Amino acid sequence: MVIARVACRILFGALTVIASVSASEAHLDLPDPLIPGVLMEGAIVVEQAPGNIVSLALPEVAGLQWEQHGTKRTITTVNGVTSESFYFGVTAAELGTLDIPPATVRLSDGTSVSTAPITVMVSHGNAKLVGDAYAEAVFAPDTIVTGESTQLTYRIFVKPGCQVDKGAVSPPADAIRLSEPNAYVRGRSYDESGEAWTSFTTTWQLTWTKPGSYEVGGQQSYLRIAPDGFRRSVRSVAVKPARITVTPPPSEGRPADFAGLIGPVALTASLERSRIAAGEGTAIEVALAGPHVDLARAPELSLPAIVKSYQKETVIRPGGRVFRWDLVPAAPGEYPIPAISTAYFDVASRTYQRASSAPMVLTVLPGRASMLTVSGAPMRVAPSASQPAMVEMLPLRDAAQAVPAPGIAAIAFAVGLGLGGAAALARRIGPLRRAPHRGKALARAISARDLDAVARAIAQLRPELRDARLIQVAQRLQDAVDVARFGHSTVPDDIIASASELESVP
Amino acid sequence: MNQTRSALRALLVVAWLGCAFAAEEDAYAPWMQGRPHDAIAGLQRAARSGGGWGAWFDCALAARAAGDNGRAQACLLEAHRLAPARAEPLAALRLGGATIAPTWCERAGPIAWAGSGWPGVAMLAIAGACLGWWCCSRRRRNAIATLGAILVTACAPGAIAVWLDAHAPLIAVVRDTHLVDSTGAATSPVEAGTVLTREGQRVWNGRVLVQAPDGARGFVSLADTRMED
Repeated sequence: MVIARVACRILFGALTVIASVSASEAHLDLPDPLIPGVLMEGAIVVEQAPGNIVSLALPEVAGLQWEQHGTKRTITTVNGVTSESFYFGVTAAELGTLDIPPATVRLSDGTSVSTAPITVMVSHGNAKLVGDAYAEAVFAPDTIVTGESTQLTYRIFVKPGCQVDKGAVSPPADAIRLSEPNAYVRGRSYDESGEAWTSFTTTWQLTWTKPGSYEVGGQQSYLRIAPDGFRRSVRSVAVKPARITVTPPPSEGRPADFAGLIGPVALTASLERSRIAAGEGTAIEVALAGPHVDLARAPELSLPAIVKSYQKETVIRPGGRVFRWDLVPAAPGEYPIPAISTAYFDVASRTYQRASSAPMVLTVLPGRASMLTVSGAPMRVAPSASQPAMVEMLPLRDAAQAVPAPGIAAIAFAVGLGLGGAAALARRIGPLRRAPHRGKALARAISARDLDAVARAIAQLRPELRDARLIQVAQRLQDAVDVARFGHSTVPDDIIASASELESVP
Repeated sequence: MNQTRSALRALLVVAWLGCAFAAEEDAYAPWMQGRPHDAIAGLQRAARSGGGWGAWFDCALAARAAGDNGRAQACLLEAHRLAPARAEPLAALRLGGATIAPTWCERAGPIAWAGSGWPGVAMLAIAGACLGWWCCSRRRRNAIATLGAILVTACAPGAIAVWLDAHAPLIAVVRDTHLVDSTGAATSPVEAGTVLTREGQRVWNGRVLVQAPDGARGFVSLADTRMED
């Protein structure tokens, strides 16, 4: 019993040691690419190490110089996995590719771990990375035909000490997005001096239905943080724009039934049941597969006249589109269904191609007829609620009854209110009458020898007189009229003649 | 000389008539020839150039016949906005799978009749005239005010129902898309032709906040709700 317990303990210990050793893993983390002549920082990372890193044996590589700082190391734990990083300097001598053999790490428990051999490139840094930030948009390919897909890639590079909140570029409004926008992927890039920049990259799959030239660009804002961490400023950098040219498919060699479908396209056709009895129906299914079949239309069916087809709803699947028709043959027989095909433009060969199915045969067997006895009172058949029909939905053409635009009623009410009020006010004020002409009234009274009327006309006239001479004339006329009225005499002619001057008074 | 001039005039008239008939193209022709997809652009142009609710309705039927349910629903929604009291656009919208709660016109039923059409416009104009006269005349006759009040009362439900339905915050998705959250991450797919309820008028980053028929809330790109010509 004791022997068995000891054996179990030994076995358990051995398994623990094997598990811990086998879980340890080391890898060499070098900048990609290395910049020739520039001292850059590399690291060797050991995960799940049973002890601390004691020493590091870096392999000799021609054209590569290691510089061990010796002190810089970090220990991180993520999701229970502890990793220790040991940093060192590395300088590549010249451009090219370097094969680095395994490096060996000695640990404090006496074990050692080796890295896997890797290959690194030595090349110049990205010359575009100058200043604080750089942003660019790229279409690949940058010339397409309508319906062909292209990839819009947007990259933002920021120097250490700068942050980006959100991207400034989005696809043009008239582009059709073929996929959901991808999340920004973080990466690392190096400028010519070997300094590491952080990059953020996202992509969209797009296409256009209208030919033309489209451009994407804008201003990318970023946050610049001073080394002391307190002074922050929002700055912006112009995005290097991307331009794409969308052309219509070539007219040369264009098939008559080409409807804008872009290839490659695979077409398959199948009958739900190829042998049916008379009076039964079946269905034919035509499946189109390809990256751009979302824009495909139903292909034309060439069926014998005796077989009626009724198109059903189109089923859209990822990377494919399935068209379905119900087939109803009118009589028994063997009905060949010719190959179904559709024309498409192949972007690889830049030519028009045709995707075709294999021909099929529909066999309709003669069925047995039997008498059907129907009894009972006739009843009205209610329309099926599950499949609402579009029977009553016919085009209106010009027969649509005109209706007032919403809001016309309120305008009509306001107009009526204004017109009614205006009419009432006009009636209230009354018509505007011209005042009688007082000078002419006096002339009429004088010519009629009506002394009372002359007296009234002078009384109305006098308040309007401003000229001293006319006032004197009026006074003399009034005196003469008064004498004549009460003395039963006549007005002297010279006074009547002088009164003609008053006729012009309004 | 006179005969020559008359002949030239007749020739000119014939040429002008020929040009006029040639220039007038029937937007329905491709549809009647079994190509509804090719008729959509012409019908949509006609509808945009003031064809009224009937033109939008016909464009929607053509789009549905061509299998473009997203455009069909958007056209029907436009027809419904122009003629909220008409039942045809609403019925077609619901046949297309839209979940639309009973509209104010439907709820009001016959009460809305008086104020929803041209009779309503005429009656409201008369009511306005009566009330305007009553307010501004020297001798205020109560009979005129009563007539105006009765007409306003009769027309108000229909007019208000039409206005509310025309401004209902409905929006149709013309192509398959996704609802996204405020970070731009997709949350739930939305099929073309789905009618969404817009929450507020605020547009953020080309997106508007909407509620789907299943109750899901999120932002939808305005580009996915606009019809192309």
